[in-house]
Amino acid sequence: MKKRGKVVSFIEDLKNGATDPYAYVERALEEASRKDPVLNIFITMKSEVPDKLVNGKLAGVPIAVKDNIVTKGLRTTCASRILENFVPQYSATIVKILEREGAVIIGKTNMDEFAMGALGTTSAFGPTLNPINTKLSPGGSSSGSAAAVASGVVDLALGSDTGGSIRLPAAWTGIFGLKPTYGAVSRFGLISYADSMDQIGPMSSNASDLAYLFSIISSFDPLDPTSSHNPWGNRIEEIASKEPDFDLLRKLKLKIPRELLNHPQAEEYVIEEFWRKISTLEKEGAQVEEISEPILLKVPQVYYVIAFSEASSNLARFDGVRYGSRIAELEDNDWDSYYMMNRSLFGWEVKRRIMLGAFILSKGYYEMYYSLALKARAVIKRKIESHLKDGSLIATPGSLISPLPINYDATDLSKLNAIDAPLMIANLGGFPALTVPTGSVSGTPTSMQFVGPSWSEDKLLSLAKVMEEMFT
Amino acid sequence: MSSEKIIIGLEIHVQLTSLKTKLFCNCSSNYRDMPPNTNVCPICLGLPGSLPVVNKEAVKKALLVALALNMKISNRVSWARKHYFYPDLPKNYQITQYEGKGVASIAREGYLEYYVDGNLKKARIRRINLEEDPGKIIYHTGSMLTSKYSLIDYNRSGVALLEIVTEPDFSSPKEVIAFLQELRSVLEYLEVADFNLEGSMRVDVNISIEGGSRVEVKNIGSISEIEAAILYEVARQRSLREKGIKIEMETRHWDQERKATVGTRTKETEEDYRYFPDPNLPPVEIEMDYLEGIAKEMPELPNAKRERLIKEYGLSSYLSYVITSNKKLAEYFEEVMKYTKIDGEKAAALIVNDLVGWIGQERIKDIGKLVPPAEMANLLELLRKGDISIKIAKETIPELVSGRKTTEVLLSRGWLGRISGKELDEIVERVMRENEKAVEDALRNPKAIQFLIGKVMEVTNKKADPKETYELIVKKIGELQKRTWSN
Amino acid sequence: MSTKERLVNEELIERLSWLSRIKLSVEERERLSKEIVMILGYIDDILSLDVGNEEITHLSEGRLREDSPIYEIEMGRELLGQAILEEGYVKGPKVFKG
Repeated sequence: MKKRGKVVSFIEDLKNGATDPYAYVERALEEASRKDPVLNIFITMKSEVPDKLVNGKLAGVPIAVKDNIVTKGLRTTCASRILENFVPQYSATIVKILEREGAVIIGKTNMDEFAMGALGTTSAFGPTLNPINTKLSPGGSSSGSAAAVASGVVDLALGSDTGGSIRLPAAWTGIFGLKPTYGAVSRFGLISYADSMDQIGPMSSNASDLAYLFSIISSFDPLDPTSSHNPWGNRIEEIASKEPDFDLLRKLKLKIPRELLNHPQAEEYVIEEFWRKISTLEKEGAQVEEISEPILLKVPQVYYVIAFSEASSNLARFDGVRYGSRIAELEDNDWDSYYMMNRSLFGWEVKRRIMLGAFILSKGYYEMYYSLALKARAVIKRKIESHLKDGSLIATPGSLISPLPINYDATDLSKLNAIDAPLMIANLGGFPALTVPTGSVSGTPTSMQFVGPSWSEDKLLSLAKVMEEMFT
Repeated sequence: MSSEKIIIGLEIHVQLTSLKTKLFCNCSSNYRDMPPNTNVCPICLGLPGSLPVVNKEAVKKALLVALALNMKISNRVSWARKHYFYPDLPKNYQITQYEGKGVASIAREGYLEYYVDGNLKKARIRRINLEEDPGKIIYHTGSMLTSKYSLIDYNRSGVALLEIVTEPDFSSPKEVIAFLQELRSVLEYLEVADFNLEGSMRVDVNISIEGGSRVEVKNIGSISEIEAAILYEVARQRSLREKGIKIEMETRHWDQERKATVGTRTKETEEDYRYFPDPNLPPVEIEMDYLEGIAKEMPELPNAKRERLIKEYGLSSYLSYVITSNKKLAEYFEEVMKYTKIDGEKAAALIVNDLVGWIGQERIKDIGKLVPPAEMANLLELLRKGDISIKIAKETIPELVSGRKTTEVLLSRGWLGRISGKELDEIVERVMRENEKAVEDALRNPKAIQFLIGKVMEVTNKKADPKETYELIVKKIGELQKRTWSN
Repeated sequence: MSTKERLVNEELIERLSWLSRIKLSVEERERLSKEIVMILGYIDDILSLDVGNEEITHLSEGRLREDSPIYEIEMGRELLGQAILEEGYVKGPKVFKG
């Protein structure tokens, strides 16, 4: 085995008494205190090593957690002024799992406000910078989690992915990111953006640790109404510790959607690099087929109709009465004016998504937009499933375009479409999707994304290990 | 007084008080008498990141009600969000059910039959929905109108509510009340709700007078308040019409203190609830087997029981109605009748008029514990055999209520045994001889006979049959009168 | 003027601000008008899609829970640490517009 997971190795060393149990966390905290002032990775950071470590599968392992995941006693802001001082007195199920297994949450990572954005720039706490080049965006919305991993502060981070928010920053910072099957990881305690698509997923510096973390966080949760039991048994954990399985390539069938590769905004070097990697895989035995699905270019539009609508509903609860910041004087206002003032604390991207969602769900527009989007979603899901049912994976570049500058004004909808279209397919259909780094071209990271049928994470993660061995 | 037709429809909110937990979370559904904001969790407080999981038993109770109300049942349970901002609504949307937009009420198009002055009526039920109860707002000044802020207790938030929506099938407060009473007894028979609990039934009333707009009066807490609210609102609308003022479609609140409906200054057209399927709650299929299982568990309902009691025990329809309006009372009656051969109507009369009179309506639920059915039957059986008089039976009942046994009461008072026939005749003769003055009074004024009856009762220790005593005295006085005239 | 521009007027912005209970400044109103026209123009791409009648609202099966405390969860007034409390009640805005 050439490449071993850093977390997997640490846990092994710990068992053999070959390492100081606090070493990993201490190193992470030290790195964090050096990198954060430059990159703006964390919204809330821990500075102290815990007094006691819990013995478990992640004992003494530092992890960065996106700030839309609720942590008891630790400020959780969603990168919004409206939750600027919110210290929850309850924890997300996934946080309870991490704590039970001994992981040490070293901080809450920066993100687009309420996970709405692609560049990490809508945060009320300022943007996170890309560790590869600080003039560039690291991609969003899990920008801080990606930067924490890419800058070497941690090997593990949690992100959330509603429309590509784990995979885009993974692609732009050159790390591994997995958007799991809808229902594979508990959403309880993940602050909702669009419930029908939100998923928490792992991000890592390497394929083994990605699989290892996923094996721990994927479990049924009675508190999540859309949670499912996964079918893998110990399979995912075994992938984390086993040698890469190169036999996999001879059974691998890849389908490549022509419309995405031909996207008018796709950058030439990205496409060339993609085909180069595909042909390498082909030489190793993979079957490759191009497919044509024009509807894929409209995936983002369908996604936005659904996401805006759900967001307008999910974010109604932030009114300053039970929790959250308030700017209105309580006794001077009736409830409507009180809410209108407090809710003006949302940032612009959030405001406009809420209002567009309210518009789409309002009388006269529900049928025209929302109902139509639900039907389009069904068509898209069916079409993708028909391509995947022979055991194929869909392969695309991790991003059709290079990381955008940090001060990019995201008004070019065609460019956003190029970012969104390959990634949002998985969210509309509930499919798992994996982004793996494949090296770099003149300093810019390149990557590939694979979308599989629901509950095919075992296959995707095995492939990640193989790809890691081949391309990095 | 004008005589336009009044049109009334109802939206009834019933708490499923028999559930242990709330509709979407673990918290207790019994929030009463708890310090404010202690029966709460992240879910019923709508805290960020929390998610709802549906209580299976709540669905079952709703299906029971749907079957009892003769409704068409959906093939799946689905949920919608209704959006409106209000401080008692933690998420600023309510998880409820809705007809359309890819979701459906749990059941629709049913009916309930009920009696008004002995006439059978039928009210159509449009739909029933399961939904979550909001929290409770109190006002520091005691009034919504003068309070500068509100105080909110979320203990109630998330309790399972069943919303029952009728068609506008009522034309008087009397019909509304008779319907609601029937509905309450049906729901009590199904053991889904306990209406002794304050706030367990709240009603919104839609009222219009012919040709006018519909006005909704929200959140009326008791049946007596409903009557007052309807009368007030009808009078208000009529007076507006007489003045030539247009009646606006609006939502009003019932102010219990002032006994008046109050406008809320929100025009209904401004509302847009933006219903859509709750993305957190995938629909759940209602299997036919499951529904059949529930149908098998369905208890006998008030109307069926009413007719059976008439047939089986020879009850008058009036007493059968009274007995069956309370499930516990009806069960008690039937239990008592197992141990006695007494005429059902007689037993029912004593139970309804005397026993219930002594224990009080609110204690009916404990009637079997207060007076065991066997004890009551024992008393009725002695009455049937003529061992005691009806008067003694009636006077024994309060003693039974205070926990004594029938034989113990009768023996200690010396009430056992009845005096009649020749024995009674002799006693009456003696009493009349010993009370010449009273007899003379009775000859002039028939009302004075009461004194003589009282004397006979005293002498016989109430064992004399009152009716027979009365007849004997009347006969003897009559004979004396004839003699006096013939002299 | 396109249909979208005609639709997006001051009245619509006012209504969306009200439905969402978000107060908007004058500048925000202008910005929102422009951006709604732009985004709706983009979203309108789906209007020409050929779709069937099936709607997808959920990606997983529904589930019911037993009517008993089946999981452990934090409970009680501590959860309302950021609320204004008065004698255990949450202090909220008045609900009558007088």
